[in-house]
Amino acid sequence: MKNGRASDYSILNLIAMSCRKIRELLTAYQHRELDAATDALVFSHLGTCAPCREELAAANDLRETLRMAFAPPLELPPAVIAGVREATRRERRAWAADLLRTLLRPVVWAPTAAVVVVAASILTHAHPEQTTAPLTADYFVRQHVVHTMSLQSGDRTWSAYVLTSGGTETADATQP
Amino acid sequence: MAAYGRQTYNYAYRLTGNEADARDLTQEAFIRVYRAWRSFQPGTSFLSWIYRIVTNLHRDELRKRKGVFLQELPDDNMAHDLPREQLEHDPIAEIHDRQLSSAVARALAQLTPDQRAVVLLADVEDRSYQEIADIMACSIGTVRSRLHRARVQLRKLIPRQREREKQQGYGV
Ligand SMILES: [Zn+2]
Repeated sequence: MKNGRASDYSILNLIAMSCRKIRELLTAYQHRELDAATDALVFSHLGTCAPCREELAAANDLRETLRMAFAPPLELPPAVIAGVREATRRERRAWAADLLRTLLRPVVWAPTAAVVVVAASILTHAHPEQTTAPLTADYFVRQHVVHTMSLQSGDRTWSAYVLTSGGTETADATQP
Repeated sequence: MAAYGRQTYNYAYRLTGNEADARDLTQEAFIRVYRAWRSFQPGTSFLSWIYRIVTNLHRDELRKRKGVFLQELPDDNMAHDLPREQLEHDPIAEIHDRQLSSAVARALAQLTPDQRAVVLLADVEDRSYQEIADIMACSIGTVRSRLHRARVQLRKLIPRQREREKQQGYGV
């Protein structure tokens, strides 16, 4: 019987199978977790073996005792729902406060404000009347003066030099 | 939440054996669910996810308590030496909350948290071994062996229904 080992639970093993082996399978049998062949095997063993039947009865009894101990099911106490609501509301509030604090930090709002200003100025410059207006030398000089006024004194001196030298160059160019 | 809340609460009660702990456990579990909402994978069982959180919280809580208990009482077996009345009667809990029948409660308390969870899931909650393996993040083989060991323990600790009935004079 070389191929007898292929199936541990073959019909040939039915009688030879020890009660000890069957009892190891009883819990899974009770929970209907055995494959069909093994299930059938345990079933037939139980038909012929009173001690194993008694063992299954005891297992069923234990199961019934456990189920009875927890019956009927309890209702969810409103206090639990209220507790979860309260805790999650507190967490949401803390999260919102954190977000606000983050947004109010200068490191965050300064660049944000800068972006807004730049965007606004781009939109203003994109205005049709402005773009169609002729770009004169006078316009650039005025822009330059506005720019240099906001700079520190060192830069302003340098700008003044650029302005004057630029001015003489233009004057020279207009006088051939 | 109410749909899952009732089931979760009953599972928590089965694990802890008293309503006060069950309330705390359920509340904590749902707060965890709220925080970890984004980590839930669609297509998996939401109830199994909550059950796993409850099972883990209960295991952690018992370990914490056992640690405190062992520090306070150097003798590990002290609880078993207490008179029965002291273990069974908690007048405050009896008035406000439902408590488990003392024989079952005492027996379940002697199991490890994992053995207790596996027995409750299989025998009381009728979960399949695959579902239990998912909830407990272990193999089906581990579910089987834990269940087997838990059953052997419980059989020793809980008197049989028939014997109890005999004692009460019902016969079989
Ligand atoms: Zn047998």
